Parts: sequence; structure tokens; C-alpha cells
Amino acid sequence: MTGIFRKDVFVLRKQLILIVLSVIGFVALSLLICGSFRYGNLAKLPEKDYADAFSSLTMLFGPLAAVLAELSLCTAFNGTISSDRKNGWYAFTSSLPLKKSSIALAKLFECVASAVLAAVVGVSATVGCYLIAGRTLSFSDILVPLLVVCIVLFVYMLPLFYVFRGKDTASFFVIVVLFVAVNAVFAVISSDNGIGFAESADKLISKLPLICLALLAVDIVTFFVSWRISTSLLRKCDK
Amino acid sequence: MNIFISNTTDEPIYEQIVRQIKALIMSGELKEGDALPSMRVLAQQLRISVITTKRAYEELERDGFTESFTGKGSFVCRQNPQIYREDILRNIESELTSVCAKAKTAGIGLDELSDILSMLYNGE
Amino acid sequence: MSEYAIEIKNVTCKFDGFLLDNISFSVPSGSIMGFVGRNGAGKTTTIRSMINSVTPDSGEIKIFGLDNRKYEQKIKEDIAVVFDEIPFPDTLTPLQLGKVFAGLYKSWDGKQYLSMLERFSLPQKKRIRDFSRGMKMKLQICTALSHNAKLLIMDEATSGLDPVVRSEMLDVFQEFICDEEHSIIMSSHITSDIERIADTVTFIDNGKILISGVTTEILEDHGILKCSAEEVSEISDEDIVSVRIGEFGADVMIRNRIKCSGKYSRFIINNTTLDEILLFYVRKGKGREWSV
Repeated sequence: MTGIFRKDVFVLRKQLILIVLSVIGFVALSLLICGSFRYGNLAKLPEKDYADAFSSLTMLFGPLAAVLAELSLCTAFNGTISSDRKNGWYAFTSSLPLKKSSIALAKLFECVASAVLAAVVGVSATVGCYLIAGRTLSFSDILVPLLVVCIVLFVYMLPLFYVFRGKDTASFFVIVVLFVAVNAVFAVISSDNGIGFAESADKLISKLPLICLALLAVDIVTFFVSWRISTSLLRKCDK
Repeated sequence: MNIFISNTTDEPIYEQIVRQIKALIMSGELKEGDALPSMRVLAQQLRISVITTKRAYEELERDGFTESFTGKGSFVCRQNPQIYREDILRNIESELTSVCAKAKTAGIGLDELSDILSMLYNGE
Repeated sequence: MSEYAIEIKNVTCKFDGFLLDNISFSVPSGSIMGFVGRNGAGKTTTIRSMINSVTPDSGEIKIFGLDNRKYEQKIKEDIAVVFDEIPFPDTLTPLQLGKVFAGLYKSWDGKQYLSMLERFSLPQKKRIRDFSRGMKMKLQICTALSHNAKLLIMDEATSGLDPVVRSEMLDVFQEFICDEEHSIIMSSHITSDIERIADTVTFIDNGKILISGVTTEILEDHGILKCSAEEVSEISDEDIVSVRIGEFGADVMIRNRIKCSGKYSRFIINNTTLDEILLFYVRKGKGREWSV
């Protein structure tokens, strides 16, 4: 199975380098902006409220970096599926001592690895931004990028078996729909309770560790479900 | 009209065609004035090159068995049986020349050669 | 060591509108079998069923004496399949491809791979998409022969190659066979290649096996008898495969040639080729006599 990973890395080499550079660039930019909150022009803003509002944006950079990393990595890895089918690689894998389940597993592992990397990026970006902006770091602040990573991972693993079947546009559509749905859920929760987003966010923050664990569990379940379905689809479809 | 080409002999294909058409003419199956099939049709049916059939037809004309008219094709001429006999004799002479040469290389004498000839001719 | 590299027994398989109809044949170990048939005759489907890419509805397939479903992973370590189009991502270089394969086969031999690349003068660091067709095929052969495979399965691997490259490939295959434990099955349209190196040959048409046996025996056993259309009735039915009626005579494909040359001594009987044998057997299905 190592060969599959090597192949994907070799094929995506340029894309991966680009992604790494973009993420680094984004994190660097975030750090600069945070620095500006504390030491730079933004700190010199006359209205203290504005300054406070801006500096509360600090908490966004970590999760954004994580999402950027994960989205781009997962898209890259999933993209190899259709090109593999076109150039006959999947037909060729039938002749290898490689089970169909291993092939599906490899793709899911790649998604998980992307998630782990994104989590690392997100957490370090959060820590870095907070340190530079001079804000105090709480445990929940670290959990936010992890939360985001888990959601994106779930979204990406779910349509994986669609991608295996060749309905690439369908899987993209599902990703978009799920993102919108998740956001809508948050919006509904906050408006249902008749409170503002910030307040509902505060409410959620207290339950954050629980939510993270729940999402992790959902991810694990999705992993195995997607694995089984992708494997049986690989076995059935015309290779 | 039937032409049978063999791929197990050394005889070149065009010669096989020439020989068989001459035999057809002498036997009367092809009569004076009959048209020979076109070179291309013959080549296509026998699965050989047009160059081969062309060569065969040229030889037939050279030997006086057929004559060709541009735009119309090749036709059987009025035959002189003497010409055919001469033609066969020429053929036999050239084949016997190589037979004699072969015999001499192995030291086979004329008597032995004649015996073989009698045996083969009579066994026919 | 099993006596047969491949044994296919009474395999029937419906796949994608295709039907393999109770086919059976065997490839003895240490030999090369040519697998000949028209496009759509069932060659690729048969190969797919050998690697268990499609599952037969009935019948048994054994490779190296092992059931190909029970021991699938074990068997696949020792076989290599070569396709007519190179199935590797074309942005890779041969060196990268070697590293990929090292992670796919337990018995990958990197040194062997590099020396084969050198033998075929393939540039190690050039992308596959910049290779010519012949080079791509040579690369496939390099990967196929670098993990100690005992069976080579080739699906139209030499089509589209120029005669020089094809000749080189055939030499490589014959070299591969020198080890008695190695075997090859190659499906091909290029019957001259089959005549040149295949020990045995199997003809398939419409999902059915037409004839299977030793190549030289099949060639010697068949011939084309030349006679007129009327004389065809003098040939007995059991000797005839089928008859091609032409404007200047009839071509009768006969089997049991030795017996026939005695029986029908007044007729010319010509040598024949695998192409013609396939043609006459295929046409037989549509009626004993046919014309072009």
C-alpha cells in the first residue's frame, strides 16, 4: 500500500508544494496582522472599540489556516481518483497484490493525514497569533481549529465513495451543500435562542470539548462507513 | 476458368499462371478471341500482387499466346500448335540443363539418368 | 511446481454484454501461449477473469495450481500484466515509478529494474508522457520483469509497435521463458509474432474456443486445397473446415493434412498461416461455403 501513497505524492508534487507555500504565506500574513494589532498601526486606532473588535478577529486565523490547508490537501488527493481511472491505473491495480479495501483505505488515510496536518497548522497558527497579539490563550481557543478540522474531514470523507464512482461534480456539490448546512445549523441555533452570534458562540464554547469529542466520533464512524462502501463500489464498478 | 497457385513449390507465381493459362488455351478451354480476366481482378481473386499478374500477361503476349489492346484487355490469339510445342520444348530443355548439371556434380552418368527418366515417364 | 501455469476449466462468464461460453484451455509451465481472436472475441474478458477482475458464473480457474479466488493475493505477487496502453500516471519518471512499485510488490528488485531500464536505453528522469509508444511499452516490460514474476499476461502488448521494437520485445519474452518456471500468455492480433514465438496457440471467437494446441502442429495439420468449385464435392466433410469460393477456383481449408495429401493427391495443397486458419474457422460458423 505504500506504493499508492508514493504515487499520489509524486503525481501531486507541484500541487503539494504550492499548498504548503500558500499555507505558510497565509499563516505569516496572519501573524503580521496580529502583530499589527499589538504593535502596529491597528493598535493606534483612536476608537478602542474598533481595536477590540479587530483584535477579536485573532481567533479566526488559526481555524482559517486549518481550513485552507485541509481543503486544498483533500481536494488534491481526491483529484487523483478521476485521473487514475482515466489513465487505466485502477484497471492495472487489479493485477497487483493489493486488495480493493486497501486502495479505498489509502485514499481515506490521505484525507486523515491532511486533517492531522491541518490541525497542527491550525493550532500552531492560533498559538502564534495569540502570543503576538498579546491575548491570553485558553483551552477552548485551541479546540476551535480542531473542531473545524473535524467538520471538514467529515465533509470530505462522506462523498468519497461518490468520487470513486466517478461522480466528481456530485461530490463537490455535496461538499458545498454540507458546508452551507452546517453554517445554517449554527445560524438557526443562534437565532432560535434569540441571541447574537457572539453570545451563542460563548454558550457553545463551554461545551466545546464535548462537541469536539462528538465530532471525532462521527469522523471515526464516517471513516469506516466510507471505507466499506468505497470498497464494495470498487469491486463492482467497471474497472 | 480455374487457376491454382501453389506456395509449396519453388516455381515463381507468375510462371505458374503462365503455364496454366497456356495449358487452358491448348486444351481448348480458352478459345481464340476469348478475353482473359483483367489483371487486377485476377490479382485480387488470387490474393497476389498486380505486378505479378501483369508480368504473367506480358510473358503470355511475348510468347505469342495472347495479344493485348489498350483499353480493352488481353485476348487469346489464333493458336499455332507448333508454337506451343516449341514453347514446351524450350522449357524442358532449360530444366534438363539444370538436371544434367546437378547429375554431373554427383558423378551420376547418362545411363543412370536415362533410367530415372524412363521410370518417371512410364510411372506417370 | 505445478505442471500448468494456467488452467481454465469450463468457465462461463457474462460480463458487460459479453459471454464467455464454457471455455477451457491450459498453459503448460515454461511455455508461451498465443491467444488469438478478433476484436471483441473475448480475449480481454478471459484475461480479466484470470486476474479475478470479473468473476465467472461457473467453472474453475487455477494459476500455478492454485484457485485464483482463494489465493488471489499470493498469486498476484508472482504475476505481471502488461496492457496495450501504459496505465501509469504520465507525469511520473521511471525512477519515481520504480519507487512506487517498491511499495507495491514484496519481491521488487530495484537493481534488476535499473539494469533493465539501461538495457532498453530508457531515460530515468524523463516524464513518461514524453516517451514514444515503443518506449512506454518497454517501460511496462521493465516493471513487469522486475519483481520475479513467474507468469506474464499480455493483452495486445505488441500492437502499435514498429517491427524493430516488436522484434526486441519478442527476444525479451523468449529470454524470460528460458527459466522453466516462467510462462507467458499473450493475446495478439499480430499472428506473425505468435507464429514466431508461441509454443501453443488458442483461437477464440464469440466467447468460444475454436481450436487450441501446439502451434507447429496446428500449422502442419491444416492446409489449403486448391480445386474448382465443382470438385469441392469430392472432398469429404470431415476433412473440411470451410471453403472459400472465388472466381478462379475454390480454396478448401482442410485438416488432417497428411491424410488428405494421400487421399486427394491430384490437388495442390498449400501451406497456410494462423491468419488464414482463424479466418476459415471463424467463417465456418456462418456456413460451410463462403465467398469474399
